[in-house]
Amino acid sequence: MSESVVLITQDGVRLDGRRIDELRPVKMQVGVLKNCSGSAYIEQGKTKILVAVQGPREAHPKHIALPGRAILRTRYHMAPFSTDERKSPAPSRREVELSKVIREALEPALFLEEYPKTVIDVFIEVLQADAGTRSAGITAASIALAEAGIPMRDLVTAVAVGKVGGKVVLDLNEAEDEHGEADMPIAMMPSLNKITLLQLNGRLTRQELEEGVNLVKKGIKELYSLQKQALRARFSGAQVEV
Amino acid sequence: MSEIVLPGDAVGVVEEYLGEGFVYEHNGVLRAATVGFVHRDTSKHLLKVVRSGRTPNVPTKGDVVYGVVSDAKPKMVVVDIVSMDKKVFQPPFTALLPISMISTERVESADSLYTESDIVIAKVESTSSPFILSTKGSEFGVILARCRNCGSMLESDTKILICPNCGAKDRRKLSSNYILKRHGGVSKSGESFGNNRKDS
Repeated sequence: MSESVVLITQDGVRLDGRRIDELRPVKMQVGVLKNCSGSAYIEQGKTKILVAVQGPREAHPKHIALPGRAILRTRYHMAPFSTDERKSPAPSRREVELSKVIREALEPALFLEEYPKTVIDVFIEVLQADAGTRSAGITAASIALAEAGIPMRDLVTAVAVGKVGGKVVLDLNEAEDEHGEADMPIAMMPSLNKITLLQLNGRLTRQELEEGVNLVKKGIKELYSLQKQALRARFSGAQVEV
Repeated sequence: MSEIVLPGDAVGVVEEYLGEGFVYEHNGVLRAATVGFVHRDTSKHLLKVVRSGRTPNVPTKGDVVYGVVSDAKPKMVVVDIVSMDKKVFQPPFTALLPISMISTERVESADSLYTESDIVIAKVESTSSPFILSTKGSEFGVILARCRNCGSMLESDTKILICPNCGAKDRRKLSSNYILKRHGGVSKSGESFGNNRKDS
């Protein structure tokens, strides 16, 4: 950790004024695009992500089709203007890996067997990155899938915890992610109390891990209620287009 | 109206209700599998979640669809389903029209009644891919066909098709809504189909 950056005070106040168990301000909207089956937009702090879902459609090329279920194809992509330095629009190694882990986090929630031999595409476009893009992407993708009418076991909600200045904190921002000691994104199906994604970058003790999971559950509870609010707003007639 | 439910919401318990529609059971609890409304039939102990909002754009059994013949073999015709109601399938869904589902009358060979590029209206007989189609019934069958010799649009004259360009005569399993009638007539359904195509 860089000595010059004070990420958290002794009183537990973070760089942006949040407490250790506090989420960044979150805003979600469902049904923001008209030419796709489902869509969602999320702002979590300075992170801004747009998600579009297309399908189920017939799988092409046909040899990729599975006889018993649909294929979930996920593309996580960062826009060239999403970072402080221009990012090449070509898919990077990191984006390919994140596309895979996001797909694996969403798949357990979907009844893919309802649409055999088809493909469901999820496009996650990061418009502005300020840490937590994979977890915000998962949160938005699950409400976009729900809007598309794909049968689901539960919504999937994700948030990260990390270790900053020796303390376990919820929902890291860019500075905490860069200079912190650990980062652990977790995705859950909250109603079923099942974890669908857990990654850990850095080191945590067993006690810190348990503390982190408890913090995540608290954060996910708040995000889950915001997801539900956004879906209810969409289906009660209010629709916003960006 | 009952309250809107979201995926994962508990809507009942298995001891009390039998789930129908978009409902699944997890550890004895019935949960909604989609955004929708709950309908409870307390006398029959049935609980149903009816989807509200968007429905995935996939043909289901009983749907009437428009398609283009992509291949015709003696025992079977391959049809690309391109649209249904006002929905357009991009890419199209592949469907099969077996010889037994072409007509209520005896059919010697499927490729004598259908050929590549014919536009057909058909009914879906299966719920998942490969979709099985049926053109039994007067309203189902070819609604626009091209001449096998010169490629011009064929015109229907009662039960046969005549090419206005080369004069060739041909047979198809014709729909009563065939678009081009002999002597320049256009069927009402033909106009409607033309409008659908513009929309797409």
